Amino acid sequence: MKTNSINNLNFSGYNSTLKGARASIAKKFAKIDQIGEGTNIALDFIGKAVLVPAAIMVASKEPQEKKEYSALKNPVAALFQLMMEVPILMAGSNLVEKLANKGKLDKAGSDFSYNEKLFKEKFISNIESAVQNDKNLKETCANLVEKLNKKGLGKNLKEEFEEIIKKSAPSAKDALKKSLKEFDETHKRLYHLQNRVCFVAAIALTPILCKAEDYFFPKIMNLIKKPQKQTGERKTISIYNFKAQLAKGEAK
Amino acid sequence: MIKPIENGLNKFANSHIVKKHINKCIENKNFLTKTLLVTSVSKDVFAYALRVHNTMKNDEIPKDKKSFVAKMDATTGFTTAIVQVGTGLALASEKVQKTICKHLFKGLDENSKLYKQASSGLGVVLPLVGATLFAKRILVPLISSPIAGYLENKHNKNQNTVQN
Repeated sequence: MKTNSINNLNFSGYNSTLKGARASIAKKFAKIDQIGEGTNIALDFIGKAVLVPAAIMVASKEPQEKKEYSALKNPVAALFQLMMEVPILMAGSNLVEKLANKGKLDKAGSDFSYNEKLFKEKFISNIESAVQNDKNLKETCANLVEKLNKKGLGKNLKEEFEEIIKKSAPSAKDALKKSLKEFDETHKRLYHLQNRVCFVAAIALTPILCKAEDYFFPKIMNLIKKPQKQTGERKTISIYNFKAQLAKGEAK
Repeated sequence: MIKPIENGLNKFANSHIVKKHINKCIENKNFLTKTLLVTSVSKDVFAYALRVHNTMKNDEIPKDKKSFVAKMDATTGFTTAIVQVGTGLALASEKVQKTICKHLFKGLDENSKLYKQASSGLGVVLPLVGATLFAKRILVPLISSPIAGYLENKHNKNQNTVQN
């Protein structure tokens, strides 16, 4: 019977592909460690630039031309917002990082430090001296230090350093673990401080940003697509109307 | 110029509240996500509050329409905040996250390191994605349009009553 033949079908290939896809999604999520204002800004941009126009084009009952204009307005506004928010985030982060790495944000006598550079150098010096007698470990460590200098401390890199510590001499293990922990904590402290400072800066600058948006945004939209005068006969039509007319043989 | 900023930042960074807050963000990822949810919503609320303030101060808007326009902005701001916080907190709940992880990572061993790390990563971004993308961009327009329509009808009725 037909129903039996469906039951006998082999889905093992499909299932293994699905399992593979799920595993790769899981691996991507597993890499996420700390998130901050950058993620917020990126998600807001995606929402405004992609989701809103898509929703307008699918669900709006306005005439096609008005719909296209409304849909276009959002990515432009999102891009404009991005161009204002990203420089604040970058400038704020850089300023806090510079001050922190000079020790200007640390309080004398307190062990709550934001000086990432200090703890990074301390850790690199400790781990390099601990592995200097093992040729393989020394080479792996040099590669990791290069990665660290290029990309900064991430979840994966931290795990790779932990692997080296496991293989290092027993007498050095505890000191290295402590040194990595201090470096990681200072790195995270600085990251969260940067995010909170940028948030405060963004709130403080909101009135200026709103005024700039109100002033520049209509001008940009006028450059992209000037609003049509509704009096008299319409001289231009949208690409969708033109296509529809073409199909009916009405367009010239 | 840089010295007062430096001093201000030093005071801010070493205040008891900020230190406690930063430590909690490092230790508890759920708290970090909720913090980012609050910062995202508060930026929106502040922008809407500013819009209401600007409308009330704007003399180009006729007096009879001023309060209506301000009311519309306030309603949209309020709806945005409530819907985003509600969605974000619902998605930050452990029960909801466990159910989503079970479906999304079906077939993976729940005790494996990968499953645990992936669940933790998903838990950090899910409330934000839900609040910023789904709630703010899809749910809010769906909810605020009928509210705006209701307010507009009410306003028009009031205007007609005054004219008659």
